[in-house]
Amino acid sequence: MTIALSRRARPATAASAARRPSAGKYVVGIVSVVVVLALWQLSGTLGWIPVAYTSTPLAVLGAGGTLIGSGELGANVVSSLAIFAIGFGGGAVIGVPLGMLMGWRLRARQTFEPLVTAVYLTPSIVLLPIFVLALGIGPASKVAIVFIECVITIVVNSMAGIRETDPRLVRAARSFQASDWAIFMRVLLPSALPTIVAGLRLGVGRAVITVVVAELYGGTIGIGVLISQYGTALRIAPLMFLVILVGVFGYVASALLRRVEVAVTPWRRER
Amino acid sequence: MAQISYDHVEIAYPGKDGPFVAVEDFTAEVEQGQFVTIVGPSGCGKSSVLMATDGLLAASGGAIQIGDRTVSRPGKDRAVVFQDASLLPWRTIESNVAFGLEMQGVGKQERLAAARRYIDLVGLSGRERSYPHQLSGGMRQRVGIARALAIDPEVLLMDEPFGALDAQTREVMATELLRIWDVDRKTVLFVTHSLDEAIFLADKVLVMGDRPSRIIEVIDVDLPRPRDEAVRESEAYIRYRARLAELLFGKPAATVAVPAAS
Repeated sequence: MTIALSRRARPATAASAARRPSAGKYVVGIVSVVVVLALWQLSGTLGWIPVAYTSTPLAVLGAGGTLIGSGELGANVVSSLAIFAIGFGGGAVIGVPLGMLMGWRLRARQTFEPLVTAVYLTPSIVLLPIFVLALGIGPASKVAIVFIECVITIVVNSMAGIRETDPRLVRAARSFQASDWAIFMRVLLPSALPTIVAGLRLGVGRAVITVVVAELYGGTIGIGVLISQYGTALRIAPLMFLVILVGVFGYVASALLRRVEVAVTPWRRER
Repeated sequence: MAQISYDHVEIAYPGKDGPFVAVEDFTAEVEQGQFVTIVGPSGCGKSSVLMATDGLLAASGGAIQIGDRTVSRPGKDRAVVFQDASLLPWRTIESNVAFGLEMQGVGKQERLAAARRYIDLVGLSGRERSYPHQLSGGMRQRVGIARALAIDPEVLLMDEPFGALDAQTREVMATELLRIWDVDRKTVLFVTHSLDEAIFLADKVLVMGDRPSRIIEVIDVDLPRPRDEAVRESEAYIRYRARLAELLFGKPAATVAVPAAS
């Protein structure tokens, strides 16, 4: 806030006035990525680093082309995306209402909080073998572990969003004879929305990682399976391509939810 | 019949070593159309009295009556203006002012029309679509007042509404409040710790002491209405203020009565 104010206070030159403040952020980000990639490529080409371990950006790109061209990537991406969508979607559909209920009603919180906390603090990925035993090596066990990994984050954030509502706003609503339901819908929910969406963003990150880890553990199809195969074969270029692909997907999904967050909080935009 | 009557009201909060009595033996009457201020040191329970009058807080003893009804919960006959305005940050000014009517199930067209009327009354026309954070503290309190008036209550309860404002805005708001109040002269109960506010606004001042927290004196303020800034210079005003200072601080406060030397 202080930074923004002091910036505005300074007389704007023609150049700084022409460039929007948000554009600069992107330029800096892109420049830093390009510089790192160029250095990577250069040191590989000049033999400063062992290309066998590190590959180079151009080789990675080439490997990506091959993966896409052969159709190998498509089927595996579809499989992984489906596991992500069902696992994360389920986590959101169950987690948001459950978390809000736990934030709203003491009895619900008392009922579910010990369980949620226990699972929250457990590295549940280690339970994967149990899920595989129960649900098989196919997609069902992977969906289940993805669900578990992201639902708790979503629950905890949704609950926190409701509970962190300014009690003075609730008091004001009560003074105007708002019903319990009206207080929930008109005060608690809008107040919690940004925190709920932030929880979904964290959930996306956990879900993406869990999809890959679960596929690494075992299976016949999926990005994680491909990564595991190329890793075992020490084929670094396609391995790198796949890892970067996962990272980009996570980034884009998170950025989209960030858009949602801004869209549901119009009153913050002009701050 | 009095509009509000307090009959030996006691307000206690649960505490570690048994209940903590915030207010005891509070007995008073407020007539219809009267502007009554409650003044006292911080922690004397004056806000508790106000919250109990709205029904947000239950009295642990005695009874509060509005007309012939005993207060047990908030009702449409009372509305509160809170110290921090307590506006919903995600709603526009218009929508905030309409909030009380919305909770009462009034249709959208009707409540927005009412909202615009009261926004105009408090002098905020043109800011209907603004959000609370875009307004100054004084403007936010105007919104709080409009929101309370919009449900057309019989009694307006004001909980140190200007407490967070700077001294100058505070005086402007007090004058503004009297102008707004003059339109239909609702019964107002106004809690403050400012001696000047207490006298300037009131027909009657309930002075509360600390430990025990009860009314130590009732002062009828006989100053002509409508009042403006000039009234603060009058001899009667200065006498009232000295009396209040004596009650609350144990000695007459000379600061206001003596003109500045420079």
